[in-house]
Amino acid sequence: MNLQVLLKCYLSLLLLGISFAAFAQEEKPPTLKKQHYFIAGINYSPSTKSQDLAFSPLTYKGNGIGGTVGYLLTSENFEFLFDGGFDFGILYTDLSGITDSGGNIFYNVPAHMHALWKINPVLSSKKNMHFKVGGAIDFSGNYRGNFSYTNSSLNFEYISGFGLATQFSWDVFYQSSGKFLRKKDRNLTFVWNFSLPLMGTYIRPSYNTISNFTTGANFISGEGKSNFAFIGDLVQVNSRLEFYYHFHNKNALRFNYVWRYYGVNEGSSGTSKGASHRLGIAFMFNLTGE
Amino acid sequence: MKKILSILIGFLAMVVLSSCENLFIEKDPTSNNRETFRYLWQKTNDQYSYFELKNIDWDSVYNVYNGIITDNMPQEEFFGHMFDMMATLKDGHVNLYSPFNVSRYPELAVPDSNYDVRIIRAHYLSDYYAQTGPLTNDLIHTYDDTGAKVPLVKEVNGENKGILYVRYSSFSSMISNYDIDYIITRYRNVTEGMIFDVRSNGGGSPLNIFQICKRFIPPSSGTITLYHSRNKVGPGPNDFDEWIPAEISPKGYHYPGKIVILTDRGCYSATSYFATAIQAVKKLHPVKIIGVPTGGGLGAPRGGQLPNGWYYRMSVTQTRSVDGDTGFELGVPPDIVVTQQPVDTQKNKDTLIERAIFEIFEGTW
Repeated sequence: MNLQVLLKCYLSLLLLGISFAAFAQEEKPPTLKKQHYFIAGINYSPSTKSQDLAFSPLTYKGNGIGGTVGYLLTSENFEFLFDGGFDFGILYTDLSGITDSGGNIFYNVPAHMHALWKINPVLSSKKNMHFKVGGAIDFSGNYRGNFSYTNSSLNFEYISGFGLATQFSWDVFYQSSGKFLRKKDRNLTFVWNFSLPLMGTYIRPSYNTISNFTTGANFISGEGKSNFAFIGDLVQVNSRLEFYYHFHNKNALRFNYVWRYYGVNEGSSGTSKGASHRLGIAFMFNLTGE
Repeated sequence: MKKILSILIGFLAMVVLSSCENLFIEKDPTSNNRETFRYLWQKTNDQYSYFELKNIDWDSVYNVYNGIITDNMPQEEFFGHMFDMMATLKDGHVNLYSPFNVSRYPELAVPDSNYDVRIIRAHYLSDYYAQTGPLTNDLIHTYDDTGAKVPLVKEVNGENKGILYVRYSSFSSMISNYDIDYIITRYRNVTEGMIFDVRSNGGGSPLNIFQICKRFIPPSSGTITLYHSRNKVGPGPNDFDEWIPAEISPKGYHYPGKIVILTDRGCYSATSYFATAIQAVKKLHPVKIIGVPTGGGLGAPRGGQLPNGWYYRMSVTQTRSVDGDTGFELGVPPDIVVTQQPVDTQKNKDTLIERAIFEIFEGTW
């Protein structure tokens, strides 16, 4: 199946779920109790793109798989999330197999952390809907290996950023009706997080893209140096659409879709930009106890 | 409320389904010949490190090929013109890689080699020469009156001493501590000198340079600089960073005898770095280079891709000897110029090894 079609089907179902929940839900008084979760799951990225102009004017595209781990502390008024993971796969240009005999092996290590507080009176008329804002830290280590680049075969960027984050969430409760899929009470949560770092640091390969390996320097360092930048020269955008299905034993299952875009306008002999669409499924182990 | 929700969900749908990154990531350039030519010329203009040393007018090169390249030119013909354009850099570290061909610097593709493995193995080494890691090693042999091969020895200070021969054919083959220390400890007390043969060694990892030179300098040397390197850091012709030293300290077993390095035009890249490093070692230990200038290759190459999918590489650093000489890119000169003589070849003699034997036993150091 076409990957874009698969991605859109997944998202359509997720959005259909949100619509269904938003219009057909039965409200329930919100729980005030803090919940702690350990999260572990797997990812599939049907679309990953990279364009590193220091090495090639062509855009590399492909897909990958990976895993994720995280920690979530959530309550009605506050949420803290750490979500890290990895993805790896292979990227090709549109000319691959025609005039391009290479390919990029990629390995991404993204991490997202946010702390959010509920803002009143936004959405206060709906007790199961929450609007939170706060701060987020996003990190991404993106490594790409293309052996056709000889000594420049390792291209990379390490990006970290601090900025604003926001979240809309809906807690949905379905009382048992005894019918199919509603034989028991159901608790669902739909969440949309968006973060936009305003400043951060980055490391890119040197202008000539190679390290000083002839003088004994580490070959894979690319002679990168850490730089600080404000939004504009360094852009990261994270959009996370999530759906939690809460089990009766307080654990939960998380389905999510993460869209990530980054752009680094400095640090080497060309800009580096990329994006990924990632679908994930994870188990959320409730650590709250009694 | 439902209206607000509808708007929110519509907004969400727009965000997640619209592949927003396409707004920020530029479309691929066209892959036609002229676009590719311009890209390659510009990338070379911005990054190549030896225009000044080689007195190359890159703008005039653009004018020549700008009048030749057309978009409807067949790929093979276009490749041929780009092959010629890049050959004007006279650099073995410059290549263009297409699916059907690889360009190169023609002179270095067929270097004038002084090395004949058959002559050396048949007439200068025993049948039981050792292969220690990547290093072929044995005592230099000669023929006695009965025609049998025996180690060549000469009395030096009341002791019979021979000559160690070490052949290192590629710096791509990593030398371990054990490899080189084994050879030195095996021969250092029974030899007057060492012939270290790197002829037709096309290069590889510079780490092996340090591995060797650490054993050539005296244990009391402390940290020494072998050569300096600097990187292109901007598009201007003089946009380089500071000279960075390649430093080593003594390590492992020291070879105390005289050392002769054999070079030819087939010595390239890391082998030229090695010959440059020997200029520093020479100040601390008796070493001579015998042969002809190396092929050069003292600009470390970077790689990249062109709009039409082909790949390239080119030199983007400069190297300077400890004496301040940046011209070794064109070849590291020997201390004693010797080329293989046809008359010696007919007699199964290696002219350079013969001269090295003379220098070790009879030469002035």
